Amino acid sequence: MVSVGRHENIKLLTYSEVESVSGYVGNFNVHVHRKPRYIDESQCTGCGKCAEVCPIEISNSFDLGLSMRKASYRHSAQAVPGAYTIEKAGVAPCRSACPTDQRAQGYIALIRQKRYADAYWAIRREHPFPSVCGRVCNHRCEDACSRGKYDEPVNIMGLKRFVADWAYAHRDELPNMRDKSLVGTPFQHHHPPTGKKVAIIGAGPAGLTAALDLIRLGHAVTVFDSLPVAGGMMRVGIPPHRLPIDMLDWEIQQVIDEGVDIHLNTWVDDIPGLLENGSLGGPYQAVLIATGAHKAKKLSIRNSNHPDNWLSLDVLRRVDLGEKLDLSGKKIVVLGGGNVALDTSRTVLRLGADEVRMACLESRGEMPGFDWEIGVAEEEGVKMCPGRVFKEIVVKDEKITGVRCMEIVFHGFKRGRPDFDEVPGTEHILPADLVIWAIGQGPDFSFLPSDGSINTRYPVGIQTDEDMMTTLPGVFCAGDVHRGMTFFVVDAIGEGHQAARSMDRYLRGENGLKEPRKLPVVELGQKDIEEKFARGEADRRPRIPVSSIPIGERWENFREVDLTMTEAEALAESERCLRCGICSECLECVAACERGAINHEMQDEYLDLKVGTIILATGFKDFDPAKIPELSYGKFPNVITSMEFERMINSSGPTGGKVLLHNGRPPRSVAILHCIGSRDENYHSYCSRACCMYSLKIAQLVHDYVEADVYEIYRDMRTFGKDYEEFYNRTRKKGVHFYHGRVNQIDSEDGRYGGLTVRWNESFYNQPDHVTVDMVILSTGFEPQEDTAQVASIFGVSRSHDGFFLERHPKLAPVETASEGIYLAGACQSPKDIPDSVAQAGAAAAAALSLIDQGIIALDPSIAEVNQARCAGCGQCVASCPYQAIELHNGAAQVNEYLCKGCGTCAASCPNKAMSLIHYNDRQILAEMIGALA
Amino acid sequence: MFEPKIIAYLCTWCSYTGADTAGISRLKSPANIRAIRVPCSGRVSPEIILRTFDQGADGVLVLGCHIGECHYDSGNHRTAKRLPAIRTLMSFAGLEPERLRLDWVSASEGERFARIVNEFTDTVRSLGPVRWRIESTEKINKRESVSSPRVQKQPQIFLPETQAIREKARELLTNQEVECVIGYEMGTHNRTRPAFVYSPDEADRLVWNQECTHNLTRYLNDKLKVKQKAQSGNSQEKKPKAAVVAKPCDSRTINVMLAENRFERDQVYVIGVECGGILETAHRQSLSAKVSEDSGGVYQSKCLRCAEHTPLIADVLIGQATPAESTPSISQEEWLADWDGMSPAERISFWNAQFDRCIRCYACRQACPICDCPSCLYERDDSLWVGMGTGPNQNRTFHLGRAYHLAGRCVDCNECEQVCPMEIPISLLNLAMAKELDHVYGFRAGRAAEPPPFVTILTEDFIARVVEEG
Repeated sequence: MVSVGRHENIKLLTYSEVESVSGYVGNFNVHVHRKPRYIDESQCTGCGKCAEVCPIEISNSFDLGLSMRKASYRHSAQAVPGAYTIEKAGVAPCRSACPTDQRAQGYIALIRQKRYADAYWAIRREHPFPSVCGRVCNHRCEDACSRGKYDEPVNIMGLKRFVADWAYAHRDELPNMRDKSLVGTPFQHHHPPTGKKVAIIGAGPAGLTAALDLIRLGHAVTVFDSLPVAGGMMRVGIPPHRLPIDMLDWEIQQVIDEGVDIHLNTWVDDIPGLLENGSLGGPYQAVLIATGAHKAKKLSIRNSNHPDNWLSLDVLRRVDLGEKLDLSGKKIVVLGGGNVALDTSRTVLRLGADEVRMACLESRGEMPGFDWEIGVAEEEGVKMCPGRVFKEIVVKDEKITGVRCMEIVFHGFKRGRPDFDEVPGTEHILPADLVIWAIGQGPDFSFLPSDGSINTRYPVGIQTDEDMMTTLPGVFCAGDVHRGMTFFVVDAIGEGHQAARSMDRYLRGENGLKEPRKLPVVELGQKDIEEKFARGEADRRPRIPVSSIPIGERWENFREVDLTMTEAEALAESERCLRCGICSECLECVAACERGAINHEMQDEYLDLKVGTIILATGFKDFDPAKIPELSYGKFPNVITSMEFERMINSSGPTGGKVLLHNGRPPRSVAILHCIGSRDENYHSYCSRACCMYSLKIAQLVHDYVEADVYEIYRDMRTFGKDYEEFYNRTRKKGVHFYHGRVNQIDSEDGRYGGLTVRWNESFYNQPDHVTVDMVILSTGFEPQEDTAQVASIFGVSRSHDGFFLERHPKLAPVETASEGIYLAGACQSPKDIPDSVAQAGAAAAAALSLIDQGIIALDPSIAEVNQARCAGCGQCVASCPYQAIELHNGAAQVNEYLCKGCGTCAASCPNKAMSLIHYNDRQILAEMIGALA
Repeated sequence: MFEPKIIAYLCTWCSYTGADTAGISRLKSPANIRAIRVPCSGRVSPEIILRTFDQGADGVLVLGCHIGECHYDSGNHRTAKRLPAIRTLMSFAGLEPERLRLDWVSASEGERFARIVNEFTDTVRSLGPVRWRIESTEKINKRESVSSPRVQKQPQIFLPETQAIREKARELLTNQEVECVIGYEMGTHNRTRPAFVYSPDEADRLVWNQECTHNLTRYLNDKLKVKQKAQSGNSQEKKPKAAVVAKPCDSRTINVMLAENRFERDQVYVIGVECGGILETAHRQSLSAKVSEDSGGVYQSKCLRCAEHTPLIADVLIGQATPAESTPSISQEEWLADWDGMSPAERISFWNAQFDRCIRCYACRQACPICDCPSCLYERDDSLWVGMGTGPNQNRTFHLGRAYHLAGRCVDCNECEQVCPMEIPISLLNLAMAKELDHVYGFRAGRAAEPPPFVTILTEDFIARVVEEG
């Protein structure tokens, strides 16, 4: 195999499929699809380091599922070429659903291997703030998770938080580790300074993400923010009981440490000035607006201007900035039903408020806040008052006493405005001495140039093109200010990356960053999921939920409510992942490969090969004995197939060359059953030819190396080849027992693992009709490959009734097919053993060579011909030709004499008999018929 | 005892070898079988089958490779479709269907070959000598007069439609979008006739009324068909273009013509006319008559079978959509219902009377828009397929052969029957084939531009059925 692989005139195209064949003998055009291996064959030395670090373990099909292999693998130890291949099924749904392209399947797999630092780098690759999204994300990854189709999605957010918390706990050790977060990204290699300056307005998630990307690409970045702290809404919009501030500050500091020049407490309102003159350290070549949506809205109803009407964002900001607010004894109504309203309600509860109510338009089921958080808020004591409209803030003696409301039937939002019917007679007052508005927030556009050069968009947000550039060239926009309302942190980070790519392209022209390539998303069905469980690629255990501290411990402090997973929980939860994409693109292999051979961006390749002859050697498939119920294959683990035995006895196999029972002990007695699936009218009527001999070989191996008693249960011993009979006699002499019979039942002592009693009929006189053994080996027969029909139609080859490819003549043309120039070799033509396959392959090669050597081909004289004068050009012959040998030319049929095989179907279909078949024309056939009737 | 003469067409790869295998195995097979070797069962054309019975064979056996094992990949798929079709047609004309058998024998199935041959010989023997050849002496030249009530009425020109057709024709010719508009004009005896309008001034010749019976698409063959083989392959030459006035039945014809690549779709401008049925002309009586309520005339039989009121293919639609009825007033089954109970002898005698009248004037063929071969198979002087005489046997071969050629292509415009001076019910043969194709393949000619089912390969579920039936 190696010498074939290295031969200068032989080009091996592995991991490839023939998609179509056109042309004819001497002029075939073969269209080949080369699947991407993601590893450069010419660079790979086969060292296997990529497989060592690969966290994805799936069932090893070469070992027939007896062992596991990695997503980066080599087909077998002796594979030619020896290069590794990375198997990808596509993008996992979790990754595809995430706006930041988080490689969730990858870091989950790394957690499973307890490689928490590697998991942290995998997260950091796209996401600079793991602790935030481990806590406050709406985890679209979990909504998309394939596991959700079986029971519940993997707790991806919990696992991310586990990694983020681990990294924070080990923050002193991290700098000593190899930072792999840039491996495989465009930032992997140092980008020399470009001399371009970029200004970013807003130090929130979008702004900081873009800043980080641009700095790494060699641009000088200056960030301005009007707040006294960096982090934007992450820092001043999320209450401390959900996100510890010190952890977030640590992550923000890491970004700043990369070299971002950050100016806090700076309000920017001269954007054209940034681009043109030297204000604020300019001029800048590009500007990114990422100011977020920090302006809470308020309805203009009566008394909504009263000073005790507070805004949700103000409350959260004051708390997050460390102000000690005291709201003890206050009755508070929070107006709004979303996540900000929930955060505000739970925050004021912790500030000592006496009574907290949440009122909103939506009914309880339609409230936009997370369901789980509504539940928690209620547990903590927030009263929900959904389904009502606010008419007036009631003020008595200059003090707020309540909110006058009416109950409504809510129909949702139409064109951005609420649509509802008031229920008459339901007017009531919610008592309150403080009203906090949390009915949504929008961006503040007061800083935009007054000349309208930066357009806003109806109804909200800033108008941009596909590349996120605003109507003012050089000015880009990302994050909440782009969308015009509060979204999630992941959306802001995703837009930050996108804006950075666009800005890089803007600054560098065509050398800038390209948009990443996307593979198709994997969709697993119920059957696929069950198969993954069966192959041991995932655990069936239920989802581990996030636990919280008891309610009693939450009062008057901002202790984080939700707890992180323990290590044991995280390891258990990570086992639930179904590994949908197979390769998760965690890029550990890229970090490990010393040759730089790995390229995850590799594309499908299509080749068009011009060849003169084709040899088909597509082989066979093992018969699946599970189809024969009485053999109990799959039910009793100690009933195995011959191929499984071959893997076990192989020293590089899953057991290192030991033949073991399911309990790990060697068998003391083994029965070998012949003709499994062969010579049986219920399955395949043909003899598979090779099984008798390999059964004898197995018998000798078991006898010599396992030192067990061997029983061969055979139907007929077919030892027809050279030295085969001698091999059989030698086996007999070793003391192997040979019993004639057709096995009709296998029983186990304890119904599963215990001793196996094999029973048969048709036994010879004076011989037993059953035997009890430890292990049964099934000598399975040959079957055509599953895609034989497809291959046959691609190459225009016929099949015989057993499904194998049909030779042109069993005796006179055994390697030729009915299609000129296409030859057969090996078990794709019929079951055969290795000597026969090699002999046939030699014959096929010689037949192909004889054509090449002659340089000419002799055609069968009996082909179709057209009488052009009679042809009406109706095209019935064209449609009926099995070989596409006829085409219409100038309104009449024309026969390609190289393609025509002379079947005469066209002659029969021609209404005018303009088409005839030489040597079988109508006159000849009719004359014969008339003569026969005479 | 009667010893039938049976012709067996055997495929050389499977069945002929299978016959050899039977012989080598010393299996007995009757001497009645006369084997003719063909490269593939797909070579055996229905015309050959017809001719074999014409020559006096008592039975014909066609054996090929099993479906899926054809040496020529899918040659036998076509056999599996054609042979049942010709059997249907011939049994419609009076042959016992058991006399034609199609089966599959592989090279190794000697036993199966012997069994099939024995079975078939016994079957044919029990049927007795074939009565296919008409030994008629008495010429029935008289037409059977069918009297049906008919109100003679002056045909009305429908003004709105006529006006719209004239305007469209004028517009097309003025803009030189087409070279010719094919429509109807008034001829002698108040009857309509085809009109060819080449200039805008002549557009006022065109008319539309309920007697516009001709299928004008027939003339597209002459006007549009690419006859490049005669010319010097100058592909730059402008393709001829014509407009045609088309009823729903005519529009189906255009679909068939497009499937046969006679011209390209952009070469023809279809002036589609909404049609509520066409009336019989004065000289013809219908086999089945229904009095039209609005004009007092008699609807043509094809209109009673037609379910469509709107042309399937049209560049412009003219006229008011008549109330769309979802089913034909008389379905194919109803139309042919009388035939179900008829014995082969009755059928033979019916057709004997019909074919005996045929004078081989070929009017049916000339009027047919589909019949477009440069020279007709049945009008050659070599007598290979049929003699030139007008005996009932020759006439029958001509008519059955033509019906088979039209199977899957005939759209039931019924021009053939309209023009037949001897009033032979040609449409019955075409209907029998149409019914077969509809039942077996769900195929209706002209519904779309697709080739007839005989030339395509079998679908998977059809194979399952064929294999099951054996």
